[in-house]
Amino acid sequence: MAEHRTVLGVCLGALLTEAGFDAVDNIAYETMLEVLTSFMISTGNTARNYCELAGRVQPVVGDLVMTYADLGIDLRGIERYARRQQRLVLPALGVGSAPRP
Amino acid sequence: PNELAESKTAGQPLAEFLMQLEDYTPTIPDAVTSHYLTMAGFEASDARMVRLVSLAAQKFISDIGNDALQHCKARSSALPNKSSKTSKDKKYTLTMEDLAPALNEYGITVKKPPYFV
Repeated sequence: MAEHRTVLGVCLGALLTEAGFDAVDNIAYETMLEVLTSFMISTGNTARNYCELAGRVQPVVGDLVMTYADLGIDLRGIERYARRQQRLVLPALGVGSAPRP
Repeated sequence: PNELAESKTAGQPLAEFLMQLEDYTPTIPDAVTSHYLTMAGFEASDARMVRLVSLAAQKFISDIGNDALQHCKARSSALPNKSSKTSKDKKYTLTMEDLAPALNEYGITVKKPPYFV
């Protein structure tokens, strides 16, 4: 649990650096981290509801499309966003490469 | 009427885009996203769907970050220009002052807890 949050924090840092920030306040960082976590959990909850409403067990893409329409998330331009030039890719999570705290 | 026609087929390009996510690595690792999705009871068997969620989350955060940066720049340029000579190598720090209005535009209301003086 805490490990996931730590990795997510690193990703958040990468995204904010990419946006053009050089530093982040602790409270703003925690707020953004909560927003990011909440985004993913809301996505999961709503998508599961749509999946179960359709009487399925395995989710399909349509569930995600409905979810983002429902949550009011604009997915226009996501392709362009995915192909952006300056995107930062973090090194893959290695097993045993980093010392454990 | 044009918008209606567009929204009718909104899922189609997304499904095509999903096909391209086979060998794409988002910034947020698949393991992290699928952990949070599983917490909510959404168990995607297809890694591409997890990647789509990662990308959507990243885009959401980036959009908020860009808005906050604009707020930050606007606020710092509105200040008296005593530090104008250092504006070239200016450092931008994300603070709640800039983040709160940016989040507000996305329907997230941040209120300072009353016990924080």
